[in-house]
Amino acid sequence: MIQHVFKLIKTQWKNNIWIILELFIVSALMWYIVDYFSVMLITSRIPLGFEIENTYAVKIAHYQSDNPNYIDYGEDSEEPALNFLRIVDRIRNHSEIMDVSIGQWHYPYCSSNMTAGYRHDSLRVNARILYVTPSYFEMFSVHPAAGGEPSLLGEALEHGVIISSGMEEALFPGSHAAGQTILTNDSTSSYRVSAVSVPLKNHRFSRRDNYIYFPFQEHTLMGMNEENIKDNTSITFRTRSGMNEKDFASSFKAEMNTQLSIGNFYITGIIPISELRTLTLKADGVYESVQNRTGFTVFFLLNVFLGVIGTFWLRIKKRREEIGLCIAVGSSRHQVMRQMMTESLGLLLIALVPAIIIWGNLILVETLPVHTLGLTWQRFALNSLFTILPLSLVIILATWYPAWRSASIQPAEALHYE
Amino acid sequence: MYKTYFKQAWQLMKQNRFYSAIYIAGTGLAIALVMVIAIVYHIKTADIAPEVNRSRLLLNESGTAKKKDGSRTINYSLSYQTLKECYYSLKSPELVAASVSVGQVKRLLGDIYLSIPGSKDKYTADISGTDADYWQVFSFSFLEGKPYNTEEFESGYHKAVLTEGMARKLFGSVSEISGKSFLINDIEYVVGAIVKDISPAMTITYADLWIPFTSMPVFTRTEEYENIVGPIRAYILAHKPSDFERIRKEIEEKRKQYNTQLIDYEFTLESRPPLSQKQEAIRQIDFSSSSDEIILRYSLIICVFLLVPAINLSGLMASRMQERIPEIGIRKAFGAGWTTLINQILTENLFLTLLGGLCGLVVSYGIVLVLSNTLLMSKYSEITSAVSLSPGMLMNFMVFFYAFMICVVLNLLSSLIPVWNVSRKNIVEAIHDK
Repeated sequence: MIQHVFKLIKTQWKNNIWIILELFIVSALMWYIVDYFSVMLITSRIPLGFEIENTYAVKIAHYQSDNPNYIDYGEDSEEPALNFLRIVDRIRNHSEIMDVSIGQWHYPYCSSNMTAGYRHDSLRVNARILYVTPSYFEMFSVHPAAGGEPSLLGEALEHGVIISSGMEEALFPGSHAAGQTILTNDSTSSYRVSAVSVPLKNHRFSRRDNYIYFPFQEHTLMGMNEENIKDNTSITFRTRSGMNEKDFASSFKAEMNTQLSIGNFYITGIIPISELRTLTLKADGVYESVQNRTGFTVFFLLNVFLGVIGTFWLRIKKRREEIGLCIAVGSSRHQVMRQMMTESLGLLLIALVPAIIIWGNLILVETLPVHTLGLTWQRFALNSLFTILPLSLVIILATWYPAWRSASIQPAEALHYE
Repeated sequence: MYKTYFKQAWQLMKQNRFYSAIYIAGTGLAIALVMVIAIVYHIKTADIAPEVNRSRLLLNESGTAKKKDGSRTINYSLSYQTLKECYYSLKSPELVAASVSVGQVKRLLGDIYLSIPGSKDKYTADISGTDADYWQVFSFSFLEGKPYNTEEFESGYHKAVLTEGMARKLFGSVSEISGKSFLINDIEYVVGAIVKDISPAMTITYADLWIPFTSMPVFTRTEEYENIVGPIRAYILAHKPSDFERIRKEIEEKRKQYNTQLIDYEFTLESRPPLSQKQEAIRQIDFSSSSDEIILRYSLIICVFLLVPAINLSGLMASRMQERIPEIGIRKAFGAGWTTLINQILTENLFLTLLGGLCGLVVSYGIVLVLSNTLLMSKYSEITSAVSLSPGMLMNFMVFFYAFMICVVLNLLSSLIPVWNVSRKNIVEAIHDK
């Protein structure tokens, strides 16, 4: 049967060349386009390292000096910092709230971040810096790498800095970081590592990143004015579970609005961190890439669909007699349909031969982005699957109608023309 | 003669409905995707109200303060001082406008609330701070009142221009409200004028509300780094686009002169020199690639978008031509020349292509409307309002022209080889097939 089909393809070479050319180009391009989805699928299976259920960030603002409500505390006053801490206390005392954490750009999906270089002996690594209070680890469920409750990390924070396990691997390959000392790249400061956290990622589809946690000291706020406090500190909190995040955010804000306006500070919003996740994914281009690549894939598949259905449609007109003869000498309609389907899939098989060569070249000339994920076998297998499977389905779908039409040819009628 | 071709094409289309439908769909698909790119490019770069002078506009959206020993660089926009020293004093441009964008205002002030004195209702708004010439460089349609003038701008007068939508929200009506007062974060402002709503697709001018940026100290008070950088962006209107080079040179002179007055820091434009709207639109696509790379990438994408359907259509055409060989052979036998035959087939084909183009254009409008937020806004944008599009942005001569040109290119690409093949066949063979 297969041999027969290839013979058929060969005899109609001139008509088939176009569709084979199209299938070849499309499968070569699609393999490259779906690569993004393969990378997404593989990276999304690596745990994030934190959880954000029931957590919120507090958006804070302050009156400018030209505002009628502005209170001038004078330079170097501690009052702005004390007001800020009063806001934190009032949030903490709210009945629905379990923990409050303050820090500097410290919460997941925060749009600002700081990074710096650290070293141990000759090994250097860049890490994201987070200033946090001990409650942070429980709030976002960040566990120690060695296992155990998040609260262990909170306790460890009092004795030194905490690094993520990726950073430990980079700076202390094969050994343990706890109790060791690391230096900033310029060797001006040294820090004792007190514990190591699980590996962490920035978001679901990113690679593992290096994190370093420093204890946030409230006394550093003293003497800062409102603007500096607002720019350098953030408040996050976690509620009991089982609450609708959007509803809670708006009811909490309405309820606490006046209570949380202290001195020159006031609250402008309570944002569920899940909403910030959406913004991070958008800013990281995930939505845009998914949308564009889905669009391109659909475009190519539709083209293949139209190409195949059109070619086979015109073909059955020419092959009426042949098909009629097949049926007359005993082929079942089912067999006729199957033969046409095999014929179209045979075209894909032929097109895949040069396409595979292109795929190989895409790998060899390093066209695939390796920032998030290296070139693994899993990735190639998924790319090939995501290319071949949809293409085969579309081809079968497109051949079905012309094949069904040809199978319903009345042999007597068809042969009448002979 | 062409009339006969079209008549014949119409007949052929009716006789081969299935084939025609597939051919039209294939063409439409190609046109739709390429037109999405063309329409987005058009909306981002064409002269559309209120940004009617985009083709003559130089955008200076960033500025850098650099310590003279190179140990520190601060990338931001311009301070009021730098704006006055290096931009307002320029001689070669027609006008210079300046503004603090909606996103920048949000970063500096947080969410902003508007209210009417005595009322408890508060409304958030997207605010932009501007100077007085801003109202000349951009062409807003005023429903009533007048914006702040130069004297009012320089004295930091608390006067605002509102959009129709914002005025309706705040005052409940849009007429006879100039002169009324309202509060922006508890600070009193007077309504100067009401303008028609602006689509967020207008990246320079979009806002709900405009105020002189001199009226809030947060925009002009930038003491750090010798007051070189701040939140202000300059929009320089040239007499004609060919003046851009001259203006860039003059800015460079002013910059050097300005730097002689500074002590530890210098003002540079190295992070992003003044760009035209077209250059800026291309830069926005991808900050990490050069504009040549981006143009090359998009040209390749468009080529692929045309090439794959072209192969597809060529395949259809080739099969179709096979059927028509006898007909062509007979016409040839009766003395029709190559050019006549090729002309006829191309015209017939163009007829189908144009129908496909029309369908494709409609589909592309649908795609642009549904995906307007992701297609027309930067992924870093702080603006959350939905992007509204006016019919004029979608349906205009340029867009139709792009669509027509793409149809012609696609038609040539897809039919050239099959037609060439057929026209080479010799007469005897062609008729013999019958």
